[in-house]
Amino acid sequence: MRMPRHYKRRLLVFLTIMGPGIITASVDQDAGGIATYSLAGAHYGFSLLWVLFFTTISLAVVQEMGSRMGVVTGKGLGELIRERYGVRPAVLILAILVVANLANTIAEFAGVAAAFEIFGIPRFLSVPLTALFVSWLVVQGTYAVVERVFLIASALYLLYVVSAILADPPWGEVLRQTIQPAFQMERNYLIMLITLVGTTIAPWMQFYVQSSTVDKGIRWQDYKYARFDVFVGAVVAAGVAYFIIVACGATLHAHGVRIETAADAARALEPFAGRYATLLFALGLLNASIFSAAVLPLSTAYVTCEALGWETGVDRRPTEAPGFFSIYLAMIGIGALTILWPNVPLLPIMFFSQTLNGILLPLTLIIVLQLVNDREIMGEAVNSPILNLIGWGTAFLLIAITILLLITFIL
Amino acid sequence: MVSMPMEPPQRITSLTHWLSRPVVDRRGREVGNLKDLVVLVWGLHPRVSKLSIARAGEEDLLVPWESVAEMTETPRGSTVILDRPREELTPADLRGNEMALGRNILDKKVMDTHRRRVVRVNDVQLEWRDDGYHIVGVLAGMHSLLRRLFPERPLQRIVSRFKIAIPHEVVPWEHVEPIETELTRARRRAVYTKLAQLHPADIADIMEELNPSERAAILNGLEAETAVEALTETEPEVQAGVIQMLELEKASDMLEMMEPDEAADILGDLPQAKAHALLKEMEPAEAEDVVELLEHKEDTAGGLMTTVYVTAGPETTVSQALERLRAVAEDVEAIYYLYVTDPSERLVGVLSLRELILARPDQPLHEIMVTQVITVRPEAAIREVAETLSKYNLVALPVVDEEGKLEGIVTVDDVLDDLIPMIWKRRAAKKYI
Repeated sequence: MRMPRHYKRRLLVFLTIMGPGIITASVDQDAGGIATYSLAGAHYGFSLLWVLFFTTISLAVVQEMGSRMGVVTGKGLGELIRERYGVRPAVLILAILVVANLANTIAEFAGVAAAFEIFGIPRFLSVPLTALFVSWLVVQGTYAVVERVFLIASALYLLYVVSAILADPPWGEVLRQTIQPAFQMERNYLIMLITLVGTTIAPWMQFYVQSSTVDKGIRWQDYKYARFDVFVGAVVAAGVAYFIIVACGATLHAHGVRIETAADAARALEPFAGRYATLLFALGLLNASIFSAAVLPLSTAYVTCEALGWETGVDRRPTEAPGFFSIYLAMIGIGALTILWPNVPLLPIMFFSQTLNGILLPLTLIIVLQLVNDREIMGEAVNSPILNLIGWGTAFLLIAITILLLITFIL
Repeated sequence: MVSMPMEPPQRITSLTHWLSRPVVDRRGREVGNLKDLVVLVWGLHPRVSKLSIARAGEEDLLVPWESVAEMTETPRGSTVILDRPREELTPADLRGNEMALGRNILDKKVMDTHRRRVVRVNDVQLEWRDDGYHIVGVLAGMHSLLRRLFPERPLQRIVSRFKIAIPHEVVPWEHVEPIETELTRARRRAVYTKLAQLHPADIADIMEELNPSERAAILNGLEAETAVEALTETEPEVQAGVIQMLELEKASDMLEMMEPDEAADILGDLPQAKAHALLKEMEPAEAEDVVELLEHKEDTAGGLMTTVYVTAGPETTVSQALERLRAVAEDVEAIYYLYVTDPSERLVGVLSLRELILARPDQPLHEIMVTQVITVRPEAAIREVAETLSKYNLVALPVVDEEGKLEGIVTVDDVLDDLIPMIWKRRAAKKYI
């Protein structure tokens, strides 16, 4: 597919500004993320902000590993696992990715349904239409269009910052809780911890940042730019999350409002930040959901097909790349159909999908850490001890919290 | 000399069938498990020359194929039996032209030069010849993938029970071109003899299926001329990406070898700092041509034109002109027109090759040249250029500035790339009306 040249040039300029790290961070703010951060702020006030502080560091570190592997090897994470460990381990990891991303896609459609319901449009209308729209984007439209629409949309995440500032929180208290860790050995709190980490550092992000670094074609000599981009991305991702929690903490939590549906999160902002808060919240949720619903199945299909050696590419016809389109369309289909099931609760779906991500994350991290420390693959670019400490630390803390959570279920 | 008394269990077998199988010595004592098969990269179907054996608590052992007595089915399954007691095994070294299949081919991407695509290798097919096993092809596709995932027998049972047709895909070794192996890395550059046989446009198609770094590896391993032609045939965004992945010197060499308009297109797509660095690295003369073109907008005559064409003075004779064309034809693509310019480079006439051939050799050009030259201005839009080319049935169109100075020519193939999508769109629209 050839496009007029001037159009292509503009796209390239876009891509040089928006690096893989920042793009990944933008997709990270999806329906599951918004739901989790809102709940964290509404139910725990500012007391979980410290988690975000540490998660930002972990996120920056593990994303940097992915980006570095992409630059050094020129290969995606799925491909690398396949080449290093063979078919079975690769399929196992891909299965984890597919399960986690299917949960995420379902959550995106839950987000679509919830956002449209705020505008009074029933889910039986909004969800199938969105599913069709998203399928059409990829099957009929060109990849460039998908990407452009998506890049423009990511600027809308700044709405959350506006929304938080309109809520006017007590900033002194906010800052104190940001750097002061607190811990409770209680089931809901532990679930919240896992979910909060799982939504900020999701397994798919490792695959995504590495693939897009590879596709961008960055040489080792230019790696410092890529690393900067990843760090900016991590700070942006965590920054948006921070403002969502602050906004909800300042309003909902201060007034003891419990969020029962996603619409509550939006409506509850009304009395405090004016009627625009609801509109902003719903618009932001809708955008995040639709574009993550397009990007996540797409990246899953890419990673899976690349590792298994199937034809990929949105610029091919479905008959030329049957595996690719089957995975993409199946994920969207299952995601949409799950939400159309009568009376499924939207908010818990968005929230628990991220818990699943948090539980599955350590497995992905362990593989990433194995590969990034493999001298045969990385040569001199293996991890420094401090990066290993943070990486392994994140994986083990998550496993530990998951085990603690299991204990609370047994006791 | 190879002395192989063994009768192979199967004429055709595969690499993964044998990997991790037990290796025993002549007396049936355990030596280890088969870790890899090493081939001597020589000839059409490289022969298995060594075996790598993984041993518990010890270093891997590399033994020559000549030490193998049998590869056979025993009560404990497929087993490699060596021809001597394990104490007498002599470890061998990997030679410079040997390559381990599991490490270099299995699970890696390779190019299929026959079907012009890239496949991931699920298995390597081996065939028994008089002197041992030879690689005959690689397996891709669903069947070989499932065989890696599930045990063979239950899989076969399910397949035959439900009569599922799972496609077998074998790429014959003569069409398999690995992208990167330990051999090519040691040589610092790959030599793609099979790939180089293809038309540059086909090489470009295959390259487009690869990652940017792999594309750069391909260009580095091809002969300079083939590499430049292949690069010119790829999509513009691929070109810009590859150029960025290459060493600065290599990239600038390639740009110098290209037509200036193609080079300018690529440089125009690069970030400014990178483009500047490349221009500085290029030979000043070539860089100057490119810079001139870069000043024009990409979808105008100025942006499309090339500065490589043939000119002559009005007093030149026909035979001198033909001699000149013959001399430059090697390097200049557009020799179908000879442009006649005065000393201040103003375009005063044009002659087609046909007119030159038909003219008397001693005639000066100004007597026979066409003085009503069809030209466009550098800022003319691509559509106007295309319409002019088509209206007057021209192969190339001179571009002149306001003073009539010849700046370059636009050839029909430069316009074609941009015209085809327009035509297709129109056709597609018609289909639905």
